[in-house]
Amino acid sequence: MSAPILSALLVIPVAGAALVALLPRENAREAKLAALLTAFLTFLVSIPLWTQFRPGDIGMQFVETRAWVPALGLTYKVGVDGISVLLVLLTTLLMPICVLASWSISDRVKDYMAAFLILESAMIGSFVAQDLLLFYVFWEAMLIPMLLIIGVWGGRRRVYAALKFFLFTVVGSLPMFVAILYIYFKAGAHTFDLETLRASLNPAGDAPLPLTVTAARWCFFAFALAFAVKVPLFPLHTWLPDAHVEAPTAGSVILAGVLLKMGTYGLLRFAIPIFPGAAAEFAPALISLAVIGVIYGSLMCLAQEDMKKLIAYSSVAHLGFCVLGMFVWNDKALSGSILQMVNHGISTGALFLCVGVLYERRHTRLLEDFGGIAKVMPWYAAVLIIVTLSSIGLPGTNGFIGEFLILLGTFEAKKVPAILASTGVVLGATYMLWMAQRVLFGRVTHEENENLGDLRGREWATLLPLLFLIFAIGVVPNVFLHRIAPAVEDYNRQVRAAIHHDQERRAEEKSRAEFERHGGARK
Amino acid sequence: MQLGVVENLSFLTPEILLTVTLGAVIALDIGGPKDRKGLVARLAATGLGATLLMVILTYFELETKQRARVFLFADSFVVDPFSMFFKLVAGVCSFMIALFAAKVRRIESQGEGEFYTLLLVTTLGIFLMAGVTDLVGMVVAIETLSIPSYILAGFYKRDRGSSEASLKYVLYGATASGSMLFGLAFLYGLSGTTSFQGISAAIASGRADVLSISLMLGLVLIGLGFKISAAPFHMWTPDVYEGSPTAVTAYLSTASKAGGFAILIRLFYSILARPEVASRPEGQWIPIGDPGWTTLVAVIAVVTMTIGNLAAYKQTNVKRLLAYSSIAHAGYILLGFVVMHGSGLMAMLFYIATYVFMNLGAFLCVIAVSEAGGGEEISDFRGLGWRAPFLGFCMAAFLFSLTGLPPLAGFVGKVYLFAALVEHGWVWLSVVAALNSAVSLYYYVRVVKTMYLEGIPRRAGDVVPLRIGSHFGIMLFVCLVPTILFGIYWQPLARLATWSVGASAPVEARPVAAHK
Repeated sequence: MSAPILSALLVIPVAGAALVALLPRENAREAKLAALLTAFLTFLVSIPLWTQFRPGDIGMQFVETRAWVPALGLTYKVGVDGISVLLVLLTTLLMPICVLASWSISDRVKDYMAAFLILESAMIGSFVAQDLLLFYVFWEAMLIPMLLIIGVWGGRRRVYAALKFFLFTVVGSLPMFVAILYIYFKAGAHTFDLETLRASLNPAGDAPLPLTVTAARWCFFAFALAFAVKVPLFPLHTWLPDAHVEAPTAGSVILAGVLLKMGTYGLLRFAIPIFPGAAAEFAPALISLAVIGVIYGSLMCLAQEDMKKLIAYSSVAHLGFCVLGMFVWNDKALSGSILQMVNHGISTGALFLCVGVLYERRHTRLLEDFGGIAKVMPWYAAVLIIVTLSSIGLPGTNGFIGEFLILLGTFEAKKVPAILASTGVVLGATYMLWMAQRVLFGRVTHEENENLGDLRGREWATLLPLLFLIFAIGVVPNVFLHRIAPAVEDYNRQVRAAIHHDQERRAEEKSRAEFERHGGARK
Repeated sequence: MQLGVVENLSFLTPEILLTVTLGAVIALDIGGPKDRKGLVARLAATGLGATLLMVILTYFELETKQRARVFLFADSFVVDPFSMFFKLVAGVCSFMIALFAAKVRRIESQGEGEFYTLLLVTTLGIFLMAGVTDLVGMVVAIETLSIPSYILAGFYKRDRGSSEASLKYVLYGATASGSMLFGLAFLYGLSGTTSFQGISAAIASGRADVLSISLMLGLVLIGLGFKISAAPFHMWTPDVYEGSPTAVTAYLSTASKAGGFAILIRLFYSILARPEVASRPEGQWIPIGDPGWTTLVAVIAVVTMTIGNLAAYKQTNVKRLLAYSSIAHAGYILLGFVVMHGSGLMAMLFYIATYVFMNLGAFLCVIAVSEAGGGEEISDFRGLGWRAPFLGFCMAAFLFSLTGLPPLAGFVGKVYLFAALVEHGWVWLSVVAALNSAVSLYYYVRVVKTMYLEGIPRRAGDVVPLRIGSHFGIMLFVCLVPTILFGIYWQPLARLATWSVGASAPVEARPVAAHK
């Protein structure tokens, strides 16, 4: 086994958090530096995940397994595959950027940085955990740091927003907890290991199915509910605009960039493979909700006055695309969906950073307070336009590849949702360009805006890596797609086979049951 | 195994040591030097510490003998791993409370001699409750716990709240004890014996009518339900918990409850259930008589946790909030009781062990705050996380653990409880419990919110630090370590709990003969 990279990724941020927490209270600058170094070190350590990843190999890589609580069959098992590797890299990349973006935080710096670093460990843990209970632990461990980040360093209604976020997520995930325990016993394998659980709940051949149809439906529902809150899928999205508006800039970046992906990732990694039959039954409903989310989110964007709220609703729309691409069981759509998760992290992260730049100068995010900024801050205007175009999905930027693949794949599989969802693209162009126009162009409407300084070194440092990725994914998407594609093909093949097998078995069982009933009646 | 008197006594070292300490404390209090400030507290704590050590040693001794079970006093008292587990839990609680109370000024001024004497007597009562297998012994043990508890609740003599708490506790306690005694008398009348095994044997041989026995056990359940504050016998809890000195409240909500659960399990599992395979108490159990009694307990559990959680919602006093939370937790723990399987009992034991640390910790935080000049209202906790960073962190950890969030001990406890339920077909019950956790989340988080999200000092100079003193700090740390540790690595505790259940069927038909 090679070096335990994934464990290192989990340990380094927590160790950094402990270090930051132990610094004397006055040393705000040192705390920032220590956090930045930790985040950067984590990023460096994660680079082998890119260079040494073998795209052709199906299944988990960089796997580490250790016994944790043998009496319960709990293991510490981590690993990444083509589905998760880019998300882990996205997390490690966004963290140093977030720390840099938080440089202007002046109160309680130490606690802020410690919370962020603990959050990083928990996020990476959720992406790499291959044991259901381990995943659940990381999944819940994300909440408390995020609660504090929004609740302590947020805006005016921070307490309300933080509690709403917290309660929505925890209440959503409690049924999943019961469902995890339920399938643990039903599988009878005495393990929480994802692969073993999946295999024993969906036995090949003629072995009896451990779950009844109803139980599978309820369990899938419990899993899907937990993840749908996080995505967030319409109509469970109401916490998101509040959380985004109140969170500090870096909090928004990490929330949109990584935390929302937990929802889509969870559906993909857990809900669908474990309950393929139920997933197929629920697919029309989830597709409908996703399409509603795309259109509703886009329409809401048109009505927003606050830039952050606008971007929050655009997230609802973008993540709707991701969910859409997952439930049509099409390779192109799924590849696009995974790439779109990464894209959304990059573009929306950059958008929030751009909003943060203005907010730091003007302490407002209302569209009406700006106008003609392009004259005062030309570089900023250029960056914002690029990011906007990437979010719209202009060819040559990352957004195009993701959305296009999703729509193409969906169209191949199901025409109506694809057509409906493509209206989201048009609406997306409308609201994003309208926002850019209202902020950047026209006359300078407010006196205060006349002397705003352009982007500074630190701001460039946060934005440049993201700009680079916007073009890199847009121009040479295959570098990224060929890491995703083999895993996706394998995934879809398995899921389709499992759905087919499940349906056949259910039909068989039903006919057998009917036969027996009639047989019994004759006797 | 049957042993001689002297060998027998060696298994009673914890109880003997406790009694000796008790005598010494009384003697010192009466005849000691006048300026003995703190000496009594130190003596009591030392004695409890030594007792704890002896409990652990006895535990080990039992383990080395594998499944050993020692019957004493004509089979009316048993020393087995099951009872040792509860003695360990109760011993830890008493030890911690003794250490903590030593720095509570008001207890000192009211006469610490009395306080520690009473505390030691209650501890002895719990130790007896853990091991007793006889109806008469059971009454003696429970009253040994109860009567000093009534006095402890009213320990602040000129405090109206404290006196009210004491009076309420006595009145409710007397009623509950009365019903219990009534039931016990009938149990004896129906079966002609006072020993748990004897009653069980009487049912098995058909001498006693199982329905009548069940009904009388229902009356006993009132007394025990009162002890663990299960609905509908929980009414006293909020008032008593709020009015009593906080150290006493902490004690009532942890050690006292643990004792109640110990005897509840032993009594019901001895008489109304038997292991499917006699030598495997860690496996399936079969209810005797009408199996509906498990459903009855399930309903009690649901009602208890729901009432506790819903009532905690609108509380403004932290102690009162924790009182309702402790009612809710009694409901959670009862869940393991209805499973009728060793895994359920193991989950109860595990949950009690973790619950003790987090609940004790939460109350210790309340004591530390009020000793440092703060109040007991939730609003008094404003910005506490920033004013006393360590205390705030501890309190948050305890509350999140009580909620059942990973990676904290309370989460693991819930894993075992819910797992036992789901495994044995009580899915609806685990769903109800999960919903209850969701409800409880709100009021726990409300306290954390007040501590961390309100009254945030924005500049370094704004902080008004609340100094809690190193004594309290260390004690909180002692509670914090298991709360976090058992959330990350709990294998040893799980094994201990499993072994304590597996090695000690609360009763077997006639163990003595089997060993010969």
